[in-house]
Formats: sequence, structure tokens, C-alpha cells
Amino acid sequence: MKQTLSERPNALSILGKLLVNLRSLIILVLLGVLFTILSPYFLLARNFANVGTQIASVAIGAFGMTFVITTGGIDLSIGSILALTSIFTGIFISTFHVNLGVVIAAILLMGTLMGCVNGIGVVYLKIEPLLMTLATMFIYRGVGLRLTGGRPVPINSPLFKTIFAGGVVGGIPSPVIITLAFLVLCWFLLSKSIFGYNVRAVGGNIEAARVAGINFSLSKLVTYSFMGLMAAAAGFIVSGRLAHGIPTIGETFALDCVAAVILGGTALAGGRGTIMGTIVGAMIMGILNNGMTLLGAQYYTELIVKGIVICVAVVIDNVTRRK
Amino acid sequence: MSDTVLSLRSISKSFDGVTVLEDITLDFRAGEVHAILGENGAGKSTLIKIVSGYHPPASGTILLEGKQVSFGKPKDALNAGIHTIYQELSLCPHMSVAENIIMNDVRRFGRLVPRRKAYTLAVSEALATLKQQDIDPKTSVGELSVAKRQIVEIAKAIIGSAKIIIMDEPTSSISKSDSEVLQDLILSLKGAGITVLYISHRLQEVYQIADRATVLRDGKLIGTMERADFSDDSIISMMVGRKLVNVYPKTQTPLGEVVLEVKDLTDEKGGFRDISFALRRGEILGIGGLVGAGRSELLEAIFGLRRSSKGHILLGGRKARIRNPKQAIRLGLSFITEDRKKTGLVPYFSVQENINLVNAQFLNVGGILRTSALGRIAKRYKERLNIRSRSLSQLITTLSGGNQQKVAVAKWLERDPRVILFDEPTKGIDIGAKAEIYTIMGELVLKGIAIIMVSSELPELLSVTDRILVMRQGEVVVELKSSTTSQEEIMKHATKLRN
Repeated sequence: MKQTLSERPNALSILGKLLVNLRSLIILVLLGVLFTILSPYFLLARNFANVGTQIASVAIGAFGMTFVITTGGIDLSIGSILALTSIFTGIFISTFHVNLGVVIAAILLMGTLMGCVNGIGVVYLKIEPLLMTLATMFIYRGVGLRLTGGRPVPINSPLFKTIFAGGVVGGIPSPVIITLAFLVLCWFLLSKSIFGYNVRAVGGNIEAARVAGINFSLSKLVTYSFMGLMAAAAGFIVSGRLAHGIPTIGETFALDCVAAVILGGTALAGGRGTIMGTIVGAMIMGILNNGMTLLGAQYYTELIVKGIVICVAVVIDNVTRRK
Repeated sequence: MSDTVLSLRSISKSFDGVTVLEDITLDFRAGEVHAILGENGAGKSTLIKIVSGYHPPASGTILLEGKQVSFGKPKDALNAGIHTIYQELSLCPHMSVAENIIMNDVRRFGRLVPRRKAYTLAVSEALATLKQQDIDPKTSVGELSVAKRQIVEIAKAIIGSAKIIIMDEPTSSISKSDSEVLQDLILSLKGAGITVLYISHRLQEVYQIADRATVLRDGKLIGTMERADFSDDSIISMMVGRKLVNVYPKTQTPLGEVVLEVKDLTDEKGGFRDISFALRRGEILGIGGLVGAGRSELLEAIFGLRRSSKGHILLGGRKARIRNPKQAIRLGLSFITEDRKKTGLVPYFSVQENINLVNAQFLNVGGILRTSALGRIAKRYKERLNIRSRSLSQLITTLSGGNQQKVAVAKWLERDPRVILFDEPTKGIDIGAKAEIYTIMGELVLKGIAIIMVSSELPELLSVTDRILVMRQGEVVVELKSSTTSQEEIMKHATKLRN
């Protein structure tokens, strides 16, 4: 019987596969070991809680971005969505004294709608995702700045702050708990639900998906809407910490999320993406940030190192995936 | 004439410990057309890639005009005069014909800025030697037909003063008349003393142009034969290693009632008009004709992938309005598309996920996939269609073409289709896998499923189908009974010019 070469396993290819799949985890562990050696504070539980809190918003945004990138798209507008929804959070709570539960639901809905606008542009107006979300990035940011005149809107709700920033349950900060909840939800959606299956099919080969009767327009529309919802959710964490809705916040948010997704091994071209990879990607960013700060490095240096790590990760990807 | 231009001495190659070429020793003569034959996975592509500098051989030597050479990269082979034209052409669609043709030799026309006048002249000369003056060097390659692009590739080799041109299935995606032009070109290359290594699945073409043919099987050289010894029997048995008694087994199936009726279906944009036919349970209806006759477009319209401007479709006697594939699937239609890579399979998906591409849309509870049910289905079809893969979680791209095609078929079967549309179901797969696909089709019609098969391979059309509609320039010109017609008759109807 005929056997093509790749139909047989062998030690080398298994090792290669492990390296591909665990690539981000290996980087994470190496960074962890490095910082443990370099700083006595790094391995403290308090510090871990700290890192977890710091990465929460980017991780949540990156979960949504994993879906978007897996369809072969990108969303640059989520920093603006985050800012605009946080402004409305402030307005609803401080100016109109709306019930907190209602506020949360309304803001998540607003984020979803803003994402939906992106989806409509991409799916029905056939605008490239990069261009569509570039446009809404400006629009949403502009709307936020006009509404507030560029000034922060205070969020006067201790409960809001406790839920999204200050609270601790069983020693775990609430942002970490929220992140973990979204991690489970998104992992389930991407790998176990028909929505995630279709997202991967559409990103992998949209023509084949079309012939198989998959509603690719709907899949993309839902993906961008979900991204908007996740941006609004990430906004709660940010505005909870700052106790303000700030029109200028989150300018690098979208690209930070893209970086976390790419570090997690998701292909920018679409079709291949995992939520577990993304959380590891977000943790790499967080640990890098935290470790450098502990070492007393400037923010400027941190940026340089971050850029280098992204390059290295992508190079490892390219080398190990090449056949 | 019989000077050896290129010799391979004991070439071997393995990937990840699996031998793909074993001790190949072969001479190519100057000015000959040498066909290389073999099933998919026989090692043809690897052999080409070694000759063209893509892979270094694990052992063995290559002699070019008596001197030992070793190619570290494709450019080395190019410089030595070995040009390779791959199936997926390596042209830049947005650049002009001239710019494409000089791509490998751009330095010759100026160090920093290539002189347009000089290279346009050289390109015109190259096209003139190929008697292809009607190709304007200034048009962009994207506007040319696939056949013309092949010619541009050949001109590229000519201008690079190629001694050896390797063609990997040059005619797999062009029409019959274009492939005749190409064959003439190949013969003229031969006249100019250029050696052509020719890889093709179409034996008929090989008989027409090749001087010698070498057959590979499982990485070994089985034999080289002279033109005088060419015959289907000998070549096919060398390729498959056994005498195939009946390459195309036809199952006799009693025909049932009409399941699908197409009436006056017209789509001017898709290039077909006034198509009418009826299809019965258990029947295999062939659609023959040249590439571009509107056959694939007709199938797409039936499946809801394109809107027809006139006419209608009846399913089981009832008028069916099919606006998209989802509705088509619900009505019991399936469509195995012509290009499995482009429209059939999802490359990052495993074998199992690809088998379930359609089923997943149905087998979920509140949006949650029924993973274990999907796993059972995949396992069942892997066995039923004899899909050869290590595991179901293996990536689809690691399978051979024939096994990928079986997956592309498998994904429809769980839906119990009434009608299956096959578009070139055996394109680019080896003879063994072809026979398996035919067997599957035979089993399907036995269950009462009706099949429409578009095919450009006449022997397959003749032996697999019950009836054949021949399409020409968007119209059905004749209906033939498969058991009484011939390849010549189909071809005659397919090519005759319209009055």
C-alpha cells in the first residue's frame, strides 16, 4: 500500500509539533525563570495577582480578537470602543444614576452594536476589515472626545469599582476572576460551538465554507459584534481601575490585543487560532511588562523588548511550521 | 540527437526517514521530449524538485553535459539552463508580459534600471520564435488565459536560454484546443534542441508528443520505454504494478423515477442558456464539453451558488427555489466541486473536521457541537470510503490528493442526498484513487441516489455514465447514450463551431 511521507509519525516530527504547539508556553516559562533569577520580588503571590490584574483588559480584548483574526480579519477600533463605552458608563452612573445591572447590560449592548457596525461594513459594504475598523477607530474616538470635550467622566460607584477592579474573592482579584470566566466562555465558543467551528472554517477557506452551506456573512457579523462586546467588557476593568471614563484611553489597546493573539500562535492570515494560546500570549506581555518594571527599566525599553519578543515568536513559528 | 544532456546517477531522497526516491539512474537526451509518469506520490514531483534545485538529493549525483553539478538553490539550476514550469504558474499577474518574461534575466538589460526598449525587443523575438506574436508584450499577464500564461512561462525559459524545460502537468487546467497549441510548441522546442521533461496524467498527450517515457512507482524507477513501445496496457500496468482489468467499473443500476428536472435554465453571466434535462434515481448523467462551455456554472446554478436569470428546477416533481447552498443542502443536493483545494476543503482543519464540514451545521444542540456523534460519523466514513490517514485528527493537507478527494465526497454523504453533483471528480488524482471514486459513485447510485458528473476525461465519461449531455458554448448540443457513443463523437459535438 502506498504511504506518503507525512502519513507516518516519527520522533522528529512529534518533537517539532510539540515545539509549535508549546512555543508560546516555552517563551512564557523562560521569561518567568529569567525574571525570577533577576528579581526577588517576581515570584511573590502578590506580584502574580498584580500581573493578572494588569493583563485582564488586554486578555479579554485578545479573546475577542482571536475570533476576529481567525476569520482572517482584524479590528483596530476596539480601543475606541473601549473608551467610548467607558464614557457612557460614567455618564449613566454619575449623571443619570442608573441601576448598575442595567448599566452593565446597556454598555455591553452598546459595545456589541459598535462591533456590529464594523461587521456590517465588512460583510455587506465589503470594506476590508483593516480599513473599516480604521475608519470606526477614528469615528468612535471622535464621538467620545466630542461628547466629553476631551475631559474624563468620573464614575461614582464604589460597587462598580469593587466588582471590576478592587474586589478580592478567595485571595484572587476580581479582574482575574472575570478574565478566567471569559477564558472558559471563549475557549468553549471557539472549540466546541458551531459558531467557533464556522469561524475557523470561514477563516480557513471561505469558499469551501460557502459551498458547505455555512452562513459566512452571519459568522463574520457575529464575530465583530462579539468583539465589540468584549471591548466593552475590557472597558469595565479599565474604567473600574481609573474610576473614570476617559476619552483618550486605550489608544494602543487594539494593537496590544493583536500582539497577544499573535504571540499565542494564531495565524494572522486566518483559519488557525486558539484561546489557550491567546491567554499565554497575554501573559507573556504581562510578565514582560511586570518583570521589566521590577528591574527598574523604563517604559521605553519595555517597548523595545516587547517588539523583539514578538519578532522572535513569529520567527519561531515560521521556522517550525516550515516543511 | 541521442547525446545525453542530463544524467541522474543513483539519486535517492527521503523526508523524515521515509524514502521517497530510491536509487534513480536516468539519462535525458538532448532535444527529446521525455515523459515522466506515475501515480500521485510515486516521486515525480520530488524528482523534479531535485533536478530544479529545490531539494538537494540525499545521495547520488547529477551530471549536466557530462559535468557533475550540485544545485544549492533553484537559481543555480536556472543559471545552468534548467527551467521548471510548475502547475501553479509563477507569474506576477499585475506586471506586463515583457516584465514577466525577463524576470530571471533582468540584470541583462541594465544594472539598476532595465532598459525597456532592449527587453521589449528581446521579448518580442522570443515570442516570435514561439510563433506567438499575437501576445502583446505590454499587456498585463492577469488578462491572459491560462494557456497563454503557459506560453509566457515558456518564453521566459527561452529568453533564459534554457537547455532543459520541465513542465509539471501543463495541460491539467486548459482546454483541449489550447493543449494542442501547447503540444505544437513543445515539439518546436524539441526542434530547437531543447529537452523537455513532461509530467502529465493524460496518457493520450504523452503518446502524441513524447519520445520516451519513464515510469516511477513508490519512489523507484520501474522502466523507461521508447515511443514505439507505448501502450495503455503496458504503461498503466507499470504505473500501478498490476494489470487493471477494468479501470472504470460501471455498476448496472435500475433507473427509478425522475428526481431532478431542470427546465430552460439560463444564466447569461454564467455563460449557459436554455438548459433542460431530467435526472432519474440511480442514474449517472454525464456532462461533457470543453472547458469554458458553461458546465461548472450550470452545476453552480443548480446548487444555488449563482442566480439563474430564467428557467426553474424541479425536485421530486416540486418546484424548488434554491438561492444559496444551505437551501440546496436542505433539499437533498450535494456538490463536489472541481477544485477541492479552493472550494472543497479547509486546509487548517483535520480530516474529521473536514468530513463534518456539512454535518456540523446540523449536529449541534443549541449551538454546541455534538462532538462524539461527529467523531463516530468521521470514523464511519473513513472506513467506508477507505480514507487512508494515520488518524482522524491529522491535518487534511497531509493526505494524498486521492484521499483528500474522498474526504471531499464524504462530507456530503451523512445528509442522505438525493442528487450529487460531481465536478471533475478525479482531477489530479492517481489511477488507483480514481477507481475508488468510481466505485463509490457506483455504490451511491445503487442506493437510489442520482448523480450528475461533469468531466473532461472522455474515457471516464464514457464508462461511468448512463447518458451524456454535450455542452458547447453554453448550450446542450446533443444527448448521447454512453454505451453506444464514442470519444470521437463527443469531441466532434463539443468542438464544432456554432453556425
